Amino acid sequence: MTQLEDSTIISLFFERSEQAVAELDRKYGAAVRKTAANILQDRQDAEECVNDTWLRVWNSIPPQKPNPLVSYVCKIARNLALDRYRSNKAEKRNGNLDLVLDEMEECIPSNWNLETEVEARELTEAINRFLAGLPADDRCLFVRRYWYGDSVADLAALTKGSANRVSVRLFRIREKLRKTLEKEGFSA
Amino acid sequence: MKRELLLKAFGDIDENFIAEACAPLPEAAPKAPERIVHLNRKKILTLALAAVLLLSLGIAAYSAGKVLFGWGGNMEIRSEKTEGGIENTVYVHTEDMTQPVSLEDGRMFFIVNGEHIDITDEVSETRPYIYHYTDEEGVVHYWIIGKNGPEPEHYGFAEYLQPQDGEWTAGYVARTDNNEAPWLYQAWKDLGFDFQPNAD
Repeated sequence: MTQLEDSTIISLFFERSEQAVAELDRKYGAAVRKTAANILQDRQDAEECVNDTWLRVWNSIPPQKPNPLVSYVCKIARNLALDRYRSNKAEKRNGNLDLVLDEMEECIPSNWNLETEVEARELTEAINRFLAGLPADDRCLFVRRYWYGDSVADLAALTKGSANRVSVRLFRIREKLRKTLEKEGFSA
Repeated sequence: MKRELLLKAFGDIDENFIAEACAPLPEAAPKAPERIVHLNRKKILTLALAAVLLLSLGIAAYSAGKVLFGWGGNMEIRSEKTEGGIENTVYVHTEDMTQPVSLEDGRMFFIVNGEHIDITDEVSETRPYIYHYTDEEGVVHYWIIGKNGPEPEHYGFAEYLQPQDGEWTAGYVARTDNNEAPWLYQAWKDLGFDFQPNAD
């Protein structure tokens, strides 16, 4: 069965057709599940997060007409999963997300402290500029790791390479980002 | 560092990048048919071109253009785009070729760039001796010497080339079975090379 165009799925939401959620799940369900599962590391939690995501999308379209749709739904899933992760954190440590966060910290010059919302926005802009200048394969690898939270093993499978190779590539990209940020004045 | 803000900064990146990464990941480098079409002056002695070299040629061709030098300038690899894909030619200039290891009175000396280094106590069957230098093109040459048996004459060696940005790696292994050299595996590990034993 072919997948519907994003605009058609959005039209279904505007018509308040329940088929909209089914089509959305069919097209982007795997991406949303993976995003949630990467953060939560728990199938049941992830599935509940997916259901919450569909509800959130149902309630926001209309009036929203997101483009690209996949970023919109994955972003909702990611935020919901992070909320759930925070509430779970007191009970259990999430190895994957903690590792991803450790690696994110490595991208930041050691003599610079991220302390305010304004600085976070500036950092986002700098990361966007950096990503725009990367080759597409490196950019996707970076985003899969630090936005979707994919494990190194998953990325090795995706790239049909070894985990070691993925780790080395990620390390080099992090180093490049750190140096770029230093040049752009992200230092004390 | 506030981790929540870090998570937010990374989480708020451009949505087009997020959408792009949701699609299947693009290949790290374009794939093209490749083959070695020529071995000039084919006195290769015990030189065995490792599979890693063959695998690297296509990438080198795209990123580096035309020529790689190895073995102190004795090995030259030219990669050119043709209708059939990437065509690689390996030239081995044997007229100036000397082994990088010299055995003198039971001791092993590594000879490169005019240096004559006693490495007898530096190498074993599991412990590699690693030497590197950067050539005029900015390419880093890693020399690796090891032993395939207990005696000095059982030495083997390898040379790998990498630009400073680490974008590609090319190399060869000589006097050694690429599948049975613990010293070579150790060197790969030490240098962070992602090669697999039995790759050929």
